[in-house]
Amino acid sequence: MKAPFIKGTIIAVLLLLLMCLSSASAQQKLHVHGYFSQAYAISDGNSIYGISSNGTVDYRNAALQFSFQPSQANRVVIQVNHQRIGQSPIMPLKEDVELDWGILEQRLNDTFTLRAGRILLPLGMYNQMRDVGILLPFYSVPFSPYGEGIYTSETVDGFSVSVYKDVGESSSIEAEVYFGQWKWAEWYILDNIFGGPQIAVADEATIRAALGAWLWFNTPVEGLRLGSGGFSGNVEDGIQFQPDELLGPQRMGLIAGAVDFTRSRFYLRSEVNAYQLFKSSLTAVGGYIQFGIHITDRLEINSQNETTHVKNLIAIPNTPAKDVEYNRDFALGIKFSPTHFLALKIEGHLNRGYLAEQPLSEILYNRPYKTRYAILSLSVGF
Amino acid sequence: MKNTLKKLAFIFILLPLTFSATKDNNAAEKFIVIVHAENTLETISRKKLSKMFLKKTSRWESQDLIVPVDQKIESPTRIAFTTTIHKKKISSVKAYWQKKIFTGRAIPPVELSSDKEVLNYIVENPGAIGYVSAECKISTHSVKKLAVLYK
Repeated sequence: MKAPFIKGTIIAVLLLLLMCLSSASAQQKLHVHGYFSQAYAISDGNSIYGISSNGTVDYRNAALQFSFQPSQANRVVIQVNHQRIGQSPIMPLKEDVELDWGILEQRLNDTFTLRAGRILLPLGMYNQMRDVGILLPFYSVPFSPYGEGIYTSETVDGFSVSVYKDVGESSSIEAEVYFGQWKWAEWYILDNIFGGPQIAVADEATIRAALGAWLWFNTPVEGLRLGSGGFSGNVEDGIQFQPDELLGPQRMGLIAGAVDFTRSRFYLRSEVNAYQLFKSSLTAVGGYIQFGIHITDRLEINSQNETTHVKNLIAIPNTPAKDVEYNRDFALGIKFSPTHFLALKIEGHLNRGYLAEQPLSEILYNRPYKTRYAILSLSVGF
Repeated sequence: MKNTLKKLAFIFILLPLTFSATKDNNAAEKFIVIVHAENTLETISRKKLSKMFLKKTSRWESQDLIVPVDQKIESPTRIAFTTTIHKKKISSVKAYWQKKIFTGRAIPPVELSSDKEVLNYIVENPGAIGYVSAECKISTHSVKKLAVLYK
């Protein structure tokens, strides 16, 4: 149901764009951009993020963006993407080519801009560019709050209003308020009671009537900006770790804060966030800190430490709730960018927690997994 | 010994400041900002000029649309303009535009290959603003120089 509808929409819009290109002036208003990241990833034993000890090259992100700007005040932008995450349990939920996002944009003036469609969800530093390899210090964004496609979403189907305003001589505010709905992926692994291979279960939850906002304050200190925001919505379907009597739609909320200090030779970034299902007492609190330094104009060393704690996690219905350190990951990497549109990265991770693709019963017995994994990737953009 | 250390500290603090000031002044001499001859503006502040080329400001006071035009990224004139007006390295501005593109926020200004192409573009687009090398002769075109106020 989903795939033919989305592919049909994409084809229809592309045909419309081609029709608009009948004149030379229209061709000047059409811009095509894209990016591609290909990786080789391997772990030391456990499978995590679709990476196994066998290694995989089925690990990539690619996107093609068509931007048509009939005037300075309005634009139509569509981006389609292709993503492979190795043997990740959420791969069955992904199409070969998907509509990544698509918007109609109307710039009212230098302060207000309206957008409608499948909008990139403004959350933190990386949510709107989580797959753009040439821009990221590591292959993927941190799990908290971005979830690598689980329990979070890159986009919202709805509309938004964004604001840009100078504050005094040297600072400014960028804010965006949005309303709409999205889906996010969830998964877990079950032991096969008949002794066969473990069973991976993946499903999508829908977040409806979601209202959210994000604000960046660009301070007078060069390179320093502070951010904060969050959203609240009704969660339906999917796999929800909560007591039986509360199964069904419930309200959830997320709040987050961010600090970004980026200079030409180094950067220091940090985000914290808290997520709660309101009817139950399930709470997840997490965050990360990143530090990177440019050894030369082309070579940088990056480091990252992240953690996520979950309170009152009920892994299996009718079992006691647990407080667990759900994920801890330390990463070190090198990024070489010979040109502004090419990046080669190598990174290593030490991970501890329950993101390893192992049965839920391990959470019940409180045994976190230790996993080391490495990723070598090449990213291009145009 | 103390006096020697003080002198050395003085030199090491002043030297980079001197160097950066000299660098800015030298870079500023390598380009001139130009607009269409019909544009009524005579001067522009560095900050406002930077905002125009980063597409944070979209309209002239007349409410006509601003059309910034850059030169190619490897152009010495572009490098001088970026260093002086944006006060950033080319790589930082490029990263800024890559973020804007891939978050769907904006697309960068047109990039042209030579002073001549910039001059012709501005003649054909009354709302355009661009820059050319300091040696470029602009008197033969319907454009005029805009004085940049650095403060």
